[in-house]
Amino acid sequence: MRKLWVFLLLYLFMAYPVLAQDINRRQALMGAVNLHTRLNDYWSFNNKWEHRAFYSPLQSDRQDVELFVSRSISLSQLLGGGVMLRYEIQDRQWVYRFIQQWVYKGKLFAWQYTHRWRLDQTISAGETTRWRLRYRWAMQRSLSGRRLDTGELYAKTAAEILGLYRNKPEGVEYRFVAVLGFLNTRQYKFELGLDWRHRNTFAAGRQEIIAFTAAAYIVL
Amino acid sequence: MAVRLVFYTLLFCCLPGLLYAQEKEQEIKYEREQRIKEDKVPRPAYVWIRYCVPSEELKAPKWYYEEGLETYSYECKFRLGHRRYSVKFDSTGHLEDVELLVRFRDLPDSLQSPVRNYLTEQYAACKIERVQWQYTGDASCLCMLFRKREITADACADVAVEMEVRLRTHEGKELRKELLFDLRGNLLKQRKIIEHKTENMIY
Repeated sequence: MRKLWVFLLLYLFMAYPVLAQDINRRQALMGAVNLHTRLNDYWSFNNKWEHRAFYSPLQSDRQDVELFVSRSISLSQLLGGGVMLRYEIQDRQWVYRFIQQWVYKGKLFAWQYTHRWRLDQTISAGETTRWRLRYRWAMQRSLSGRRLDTGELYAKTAAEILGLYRNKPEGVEYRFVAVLGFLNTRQYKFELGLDWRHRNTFAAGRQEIIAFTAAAYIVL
Repeated sequence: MAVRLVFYTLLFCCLPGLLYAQEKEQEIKYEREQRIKEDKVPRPAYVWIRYCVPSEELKAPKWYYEEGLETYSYECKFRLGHRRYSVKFDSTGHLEDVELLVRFRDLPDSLQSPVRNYLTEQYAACKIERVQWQYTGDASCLCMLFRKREITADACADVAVEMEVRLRTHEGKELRKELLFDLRGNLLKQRKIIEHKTENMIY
């Protein structure tokens, strides 16, 4: 197990930057803050702030603000919708995205899991709307004991597939996330990990981004 | 006389509140588990597991230190064949109970229907997440039964069913509870489980 970690770190810090000279392979840093609040027994509101920057060379790429409302429709299902505002720093333009989602959450032994289906429409100036259909499967478990308690670490992993459509099918994107989290109190949660994205489009070929991610989840 | 009157009035006013607060506290389940190595376990607990569980069949035993609100205990989780067991010991290493993980549909019908009735009457919606047979009784007797794998209700062990359930009250409040039923489906005990939100897996 220790060898695997050493190999992974060597790959990320030594091999990957060499490979990342290729414009289609890029390394990035991503930071996110989520503010979550329960409006009542059924409704909840989530506000996400996310920033992405490429390094080699270091440049800010984009800043997102997402406003999202969810409603619990059963003990294990949620329906939600929201809007995301993105400022693309290099292109100096605003992008708007409308999101609809359905989530199923469950538990299997010590694992908590969610299936998330999302449909979104992205609108940017001078371009036709891009539609994306996304499916994400996420799992998490406490690293000590069966249930996650405060002051404990947890592991989270997520795999996602996205279908892109703009006037015609554009391509497919795969994402994989592996993070180590820490539940500080019931209100604060922190995560640190990797986010790998591979986009294969018919027009532009393939693009790969690997990002170090840091995220905070705050329940208000 | 006046002092006494004030004292009794205050006592009369405060006592229900104090009792209610105590009851509320007892209702909450707080158990913080921490994985530990076998050498950190009290000797009686280690001996019980090694003696009562046939070593050739024992698969992946894991030891946990459990911290409650006022006490602490030790728990050994392992598999025997396809069955998942969990054996709980007190802080000195003496047996508290043996739990066997099952599916709700594997419970006898005589137990399933009263439990279902209780849940549907008391709550607007429910989802059963975990069901366990719970055996409590004399440690040596449980050991013998355990070795023979003949733990039944009419033997020396007291048998109950422990369930972890996600619920929605008629007022719309969502909560998780641990419920303990006897073999007739009568509720023996219930505790509220405090859980963290899973918004990090949704957004």
